[in-house]
Amino acid sequence: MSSSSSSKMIELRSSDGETFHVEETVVLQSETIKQMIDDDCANAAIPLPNVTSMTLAKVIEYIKKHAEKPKDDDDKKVAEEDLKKFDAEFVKVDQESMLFDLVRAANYLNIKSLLDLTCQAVADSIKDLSVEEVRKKFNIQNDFTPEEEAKVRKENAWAFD
Amino acid sequence: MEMEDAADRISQLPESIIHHILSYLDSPKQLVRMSVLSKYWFAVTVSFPVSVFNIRQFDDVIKLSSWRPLNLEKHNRYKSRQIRLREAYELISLSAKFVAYLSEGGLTMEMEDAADRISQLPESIIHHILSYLDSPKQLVRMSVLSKYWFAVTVSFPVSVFNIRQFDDVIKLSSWRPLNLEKHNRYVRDCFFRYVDDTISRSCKQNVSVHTFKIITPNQDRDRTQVDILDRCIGVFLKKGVKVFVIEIKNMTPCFLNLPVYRVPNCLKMLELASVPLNDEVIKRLITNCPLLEKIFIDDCEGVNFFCVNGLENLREVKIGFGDEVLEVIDIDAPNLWHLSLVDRGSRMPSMKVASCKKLTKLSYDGHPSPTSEGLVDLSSDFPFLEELYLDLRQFLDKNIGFKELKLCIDVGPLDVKELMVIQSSPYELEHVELYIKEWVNYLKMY
Repeated sequence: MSSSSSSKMIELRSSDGETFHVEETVVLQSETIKQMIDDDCANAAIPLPNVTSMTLAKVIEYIKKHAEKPKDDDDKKVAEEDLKKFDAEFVKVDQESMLFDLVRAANYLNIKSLLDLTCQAVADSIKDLSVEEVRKKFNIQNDFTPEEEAKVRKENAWAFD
Repeated sequence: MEMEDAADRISQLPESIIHHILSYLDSPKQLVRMSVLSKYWFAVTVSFPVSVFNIRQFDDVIKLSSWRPLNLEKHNRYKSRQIRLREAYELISLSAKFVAYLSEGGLTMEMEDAADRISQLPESIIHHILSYLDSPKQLVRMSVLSKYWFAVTVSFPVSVFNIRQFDDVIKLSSWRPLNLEKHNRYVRDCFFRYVDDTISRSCKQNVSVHTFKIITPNQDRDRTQVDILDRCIGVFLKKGVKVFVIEIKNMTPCFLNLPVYRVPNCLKMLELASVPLNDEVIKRLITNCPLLEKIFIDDCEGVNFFCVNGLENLREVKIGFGDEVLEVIDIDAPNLWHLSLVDRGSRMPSMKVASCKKLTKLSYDGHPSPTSEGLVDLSSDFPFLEELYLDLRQFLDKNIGFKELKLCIDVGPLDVKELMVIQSSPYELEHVELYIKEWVNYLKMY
């Protein structure tokens, strides 16, 4: 193992067997992987049985961007703006399922900022939707009987204007 | 390039993607329109594996008298016949569709897409998502999605009740013409019923709520509202809440019965704004919570001595005080690092914080009167200070008549790393003078 910490590469293997090489400094944003490295379990490729290669590629794109360090203070503001834009674009995924894959991956890998970002994105997509719209959007099966549902609705009728 | 632009790129997409796009067209009108684009699109809409029939969409689409003058009953009958026709048509094509999908291996993908992925997330993540819904309206709506979602909203460990959100949600005259007073009354009734229902339910389910926040209006001297408030404070304090925020607007003093509750020992954050208290209550609150990390107290009438002794985990304290009686701020906490003072009065309370060895950051947001005796003695009151934020905007208001600001900073060599003066334009000082004795590394003006 090379002793130079700046360029040490960590190998990650997705559920479908694809391997990714990422700098250790970048991958440390994942608390789960950090723990593995601390426990000296990262000498071989780290298997991530819950993350597909497609999702993992997205996650790596995210942590790489977030690992960039601004050179000086003037750069800092620009970088912050840039990062905001990146985040906003990042959650604009074509498929809803991708967003949920990212939520799960962020949870499993324990990357708090990514979990917050993706959960916020899910919440944003729920805001201002009616009950029916939300059910439809996420294919949520309504298993209330009409009477049960009416009872729940009646309790807070103001929420359904 | 011209050729490129003129090509029908959408029809070249794989059928499954076109279906996916179609699935975003939420109106049957648009869907029917797509089917007449071309023969191919007719075929594509026939093979569309999503069959959604919603009479409400038809209500929107088929406007009464838009093209045929009809009475309402006839109009509705026309609509339902249309829907039945389309339904029958879909059924016929359904079997063919299924066979096609099985052979193409498309079934699994479509199935995947139709799955309810959000409900499959772990409950803790759903709670995390719910915490980003900043309106009670949306939260209530989530509770009627399904039985599972009802349970998930009941077990949601964040109880935030903010009357201001209710004001936003329940619009005046949106569906009931009322006068303003009656409307406000109605909003408050809804609010308190909501608080009451939520709390009873979370009690019954034994949910361990970790965040409790309530921002309420004046109680109208209404006993039931006070009871609800009293009860929920008692319930949550007993249940081991970690973040506790109360803000009461225009409350008539001494309504709340805080001292009767034995506060649990796991509270981490306490915020009290405009809550009438007295020294005894605040002392009891604080001494019963050895794990407190943050204390925010603003405009709490009746507090003379703010006294904290030996809270190991206390890191941040913010105190807002006005013209009233706060005389002493006495904090002895080994890990306190940030003290924030919001000064709206004429007199600074006396500071006894010098024993906090880690207190390196002081923020002062002052609107003192011109006769104010000035800030604090930084060197003796805050011997370990490293960062000082002064927000003197109110202080420097033109109407007050200050024209000169002098800061005299006495430092040893290499002690000051950075000094920023941020001058916002509305307050035009004629003269800003900074004395920095000795040596400064870095001086920035904005």
